[in-house]
Amino acid sequence: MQTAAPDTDPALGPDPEAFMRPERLATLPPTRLSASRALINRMSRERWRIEVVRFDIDDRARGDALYRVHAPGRTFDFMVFSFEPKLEGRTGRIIGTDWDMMGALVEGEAGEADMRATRAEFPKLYAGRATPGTLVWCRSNRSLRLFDHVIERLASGRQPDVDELWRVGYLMRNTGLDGNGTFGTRSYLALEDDHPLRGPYQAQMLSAYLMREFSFDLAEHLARLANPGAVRLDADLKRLLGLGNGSALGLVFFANNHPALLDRWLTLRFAAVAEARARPAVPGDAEWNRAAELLERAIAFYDEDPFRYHSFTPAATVADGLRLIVKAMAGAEPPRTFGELVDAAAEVGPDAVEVGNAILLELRPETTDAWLRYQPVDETLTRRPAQRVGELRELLDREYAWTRRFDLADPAQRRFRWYKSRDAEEPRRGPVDEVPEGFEWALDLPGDVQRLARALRDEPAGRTVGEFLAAHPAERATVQRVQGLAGRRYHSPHMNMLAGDFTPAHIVRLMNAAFHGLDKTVDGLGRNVLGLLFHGAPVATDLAAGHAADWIYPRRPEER
Amino acid sequence: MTTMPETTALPEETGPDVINVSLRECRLVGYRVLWHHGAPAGAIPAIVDAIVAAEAAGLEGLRALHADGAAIGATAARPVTYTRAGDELVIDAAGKHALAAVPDIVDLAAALGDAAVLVTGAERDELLAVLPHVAPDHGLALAPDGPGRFRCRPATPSYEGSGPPSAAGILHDGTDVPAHLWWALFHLGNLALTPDSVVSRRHTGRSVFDAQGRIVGELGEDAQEPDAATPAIR
Repeated sequence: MQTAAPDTDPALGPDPEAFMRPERLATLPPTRLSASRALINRMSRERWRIEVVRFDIDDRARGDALYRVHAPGRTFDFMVFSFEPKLEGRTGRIIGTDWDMMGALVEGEAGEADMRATRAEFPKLYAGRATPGTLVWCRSNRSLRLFDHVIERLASGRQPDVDELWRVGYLMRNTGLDGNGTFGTRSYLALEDDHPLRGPYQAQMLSAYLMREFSFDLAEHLARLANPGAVRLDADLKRLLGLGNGSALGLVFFANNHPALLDRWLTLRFAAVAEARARPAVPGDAEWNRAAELLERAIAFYDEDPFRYHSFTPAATVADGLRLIVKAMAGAEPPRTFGELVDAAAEVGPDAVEVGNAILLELRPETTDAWLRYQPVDETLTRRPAQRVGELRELLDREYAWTRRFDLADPAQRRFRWYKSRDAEEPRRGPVDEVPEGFEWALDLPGDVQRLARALRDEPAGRTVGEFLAAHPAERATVQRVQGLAGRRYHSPHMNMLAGDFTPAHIVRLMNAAFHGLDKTVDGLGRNVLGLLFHGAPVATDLAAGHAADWIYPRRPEER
Repeated sequence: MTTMPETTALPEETGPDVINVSLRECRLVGYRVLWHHGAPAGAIPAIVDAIVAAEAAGLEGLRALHADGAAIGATAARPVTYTRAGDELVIDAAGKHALAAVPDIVDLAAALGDAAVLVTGAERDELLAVLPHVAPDHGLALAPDGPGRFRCRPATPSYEGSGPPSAAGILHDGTDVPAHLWWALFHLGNLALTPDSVVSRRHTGRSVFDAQGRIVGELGEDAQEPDAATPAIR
């Protein structure tokens, strides 16, 4: 797979010292570079077609279905295994073993043997084996609040209550998307250069999209079985509904383990934003008018957001910031560039500015989307054994000064242990004294870097790093990370995740909102984030028709 | 370190005799097995790379991990020393397992640039045969030249942006592993995970407790989300 880095000007990106703090990273909203939006835009542009090959599900939701995705030059099958919901032992956590549906995305057409094998292996999860050509295993549960309401309404010939739809936002909620080698699925780095799903998260997002499609089909199917005269769910209500998603500590591990991916993704985003912000803002021209339209939609979107945020900026505040941008557009002295324009929101904080930046990326879609081809990245980090110890010390001083911000002698900075449970490998975090025997799974960059710096302190400056490592093999991983990422600016959040005051939800939101493209990412307990994928996105028939490009910031529909 | 007991009775697995596992799975299980065996976390990834390279090269790296995991783990952090004899770098592995010593050898060879490398004192020294396969990952060519001896020269890294060359075969095609061996490693690796407990369940952050500390709900189940997703009154 081609993974070349783009030629970007580092000076165009923000200062990592301020920007890489978790609370700042959490302010990045979805953009068209986010995985789910990028996939939808591509599917729409290329008119991907999604076909229901079979749908053999009974009135208690038990059975199988098979979807076929026709992408340019490729076919993917999506196997669905549907189950009657059980309330007992129900959980959205990975430890759950009873889901309302399981799905598997495979390359090419799935045969009966693939269906049988997948159905048998999937429930074993980590002890299970995917069939050859499998890209993703996924599962989801129904919304307890909404699903039955929708079936009842459709069966009675009516559309569901719009207020209910708006307050929940989904019929089914993703409880796990696994691929990229897990369970024997294909390694994404090995995907061919012309593979439609070669970009980060694209295979997972296609699976998520198909789960969303299945949620509509299942609801309509069950309504019809209850009453053959049932109506279908209005298409504009389907578009409103996304796929629910709950994420937690696992995404912090992901961010730790994928520094090259983080850096590449954020670098591309900053480059795209810098390019868009530098463009002249000309009142009345097409881009100006498009920005105005999207701003109005975004203001309404945030104004109508029904959720309460805890560690994150309230939606109403974001809307207020966006109104300042609109006010600036109407001012006597219009700004010279779009960057100056969106900075009008800065006085209420960075969130609205970042939404403004996201809107700027919509003004020239082809220009923004051109950055997507650089998203695949080889994440291998290589050591430089011939480097001198003195140079390595300078590198630590230059790029890791932030780690000295944390006083690691303070017990409050060492409060938590992060670990994985034998119960389905669930990531957990608890006070150290409550997990005395657990392995520490956290990435302790402040501790690692400070320890490495101490070990290097008394070494001769001219000694090679290779010699140093032969004498200190336990420092090899830290040295490899530091050397392998040298010169890159956005690879590691500046955080001490062991500290009592660290808020995991900030990193979870970075991944969920900015990377995955979830809207309405609501935090709970400082560590869980619930949100919506494909909120407002086109449905399969829209994609096939090719008129689905303009879908972000959906409005609350009128009651019907 | 953990004091968790090592299980000897493995759950019975059903299925084929040989299974194909991915690069990610090899790395993950290798990491956990060595962690369980006491290797310091900072030493593990490079050793796992050597194990994966051995597996890819047909040297049965995973079998060696299973047979010698305790020895690899116990010697992972042991320093190695070197002397010079003419243009030859003589590395004393000091009883370190060969797979644990591979990163030290490669780093010294790459750092010091001698024309030849002689490795002495490594346990399971036949596994040093992996060195020529690992070397290209680090811009080196190491050619066997007698027991423990390798001719050494710089080589242009053969990266094409698709991971280390030593793992390319497994990246693209996975590796076929006897099922009993794989599952033995899998379960051994799971000992690096922490047993479930009542206290541990409180660390999930998903459970919701009442004033008496009883679990009354769980975030993620939308009918029971008293906190995270409560619509605001606006």
